[in-house]
Amino acid sequence: MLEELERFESQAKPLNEGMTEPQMEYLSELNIESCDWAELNDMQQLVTLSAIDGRMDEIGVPVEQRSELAHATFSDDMADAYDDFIVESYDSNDIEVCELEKQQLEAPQDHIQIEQISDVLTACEELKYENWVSLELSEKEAVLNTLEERIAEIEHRPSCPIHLLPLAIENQWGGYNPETKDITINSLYAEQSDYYTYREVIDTLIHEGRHAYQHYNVNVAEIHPRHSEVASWAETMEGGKWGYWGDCSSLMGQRLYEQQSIEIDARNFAGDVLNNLNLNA
Amino acid sequence: MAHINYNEFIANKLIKQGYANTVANRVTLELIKVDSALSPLVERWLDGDEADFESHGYSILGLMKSRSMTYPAALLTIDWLIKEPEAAKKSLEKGIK
Repeated sequence: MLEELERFESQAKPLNEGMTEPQMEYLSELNIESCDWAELNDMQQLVTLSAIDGRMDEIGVPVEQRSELAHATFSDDMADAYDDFIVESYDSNDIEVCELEKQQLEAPQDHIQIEQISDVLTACEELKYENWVSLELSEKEAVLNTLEERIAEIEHRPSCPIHLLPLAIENQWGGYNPETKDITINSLYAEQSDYYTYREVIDTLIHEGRHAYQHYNVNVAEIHPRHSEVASWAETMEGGKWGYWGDCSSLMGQRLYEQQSIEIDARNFAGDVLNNLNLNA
Repeated sequence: MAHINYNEFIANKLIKQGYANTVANRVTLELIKVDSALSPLVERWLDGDEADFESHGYSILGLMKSRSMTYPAALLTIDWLIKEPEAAKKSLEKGIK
């Protein structure tokens, strides 16, 4: 069970961060320098490549990340040979199925997701306040899209394209569209440079990603560890028992919007990440 | 009995204004228990008058304009500001996400 958990966690992190030192050592034991590699006959090379692939399986490295890891671990000729081995062993359908299976694995507990997302945001140089404020809007959009891809990976769901667009309604920071599966963040706020707005833009990124996670759980595959929470989210979505969902504030007032289960959850989740980053007011 | 008719009267008015049945029923439940300072405004709204009211720096007409709220939605938001000012102000400041 613990090994399984470690596998999930390692899949949710970037390679260098996700691999433990013993895992890296375990792989690099098979390294053969290029000059020696060329001396091996075809069969010896094949046996070695199969052993590498077996260890990749054992550690739980997703197929689509194996080439990058091989090039970071093995000599150039050996890594190139491993690339050919992957192409021959797995077709693109296998990689897509593998990616889909990963998305449908049970997601980590919330506190682990929060920790991992905080780590990703902390490691992002462009997101540091002093760097962020000097970025062009298009650069900010690119950074947010990259971060969303990482967050989606941690949450075991497909990533959503993020668009920075002007939203006319006062204090509307952004939204997740369950039809198009896009996230919009208000560009009028994203282009501002005061600290409060900067913090709220990050909050919005995490908040809308959590809505995407909620929708994925209710409508595609239940991967959240707690069923009762998913059932509660479903109540305030289209087809849910309350009959209203999303930004209902314009028809029902701010309180009924604020108190929807999906809003409470998204707000708390984003708030916990911001707490980890010491960004909360 | 009169109470039920009053509820239906409010719900029907909301439905005529474009509310879905379930949403109209939910909003009706909120409108019949607004703070006593706002009850007369609900009565006037049923008669077609959209009177303004201010609380904690927000007003009904201001919320309608800046937040695209309907009159009942803005009135309920002011009701929340009266009953739980800190929570309501914080929520309005945080905005919509």
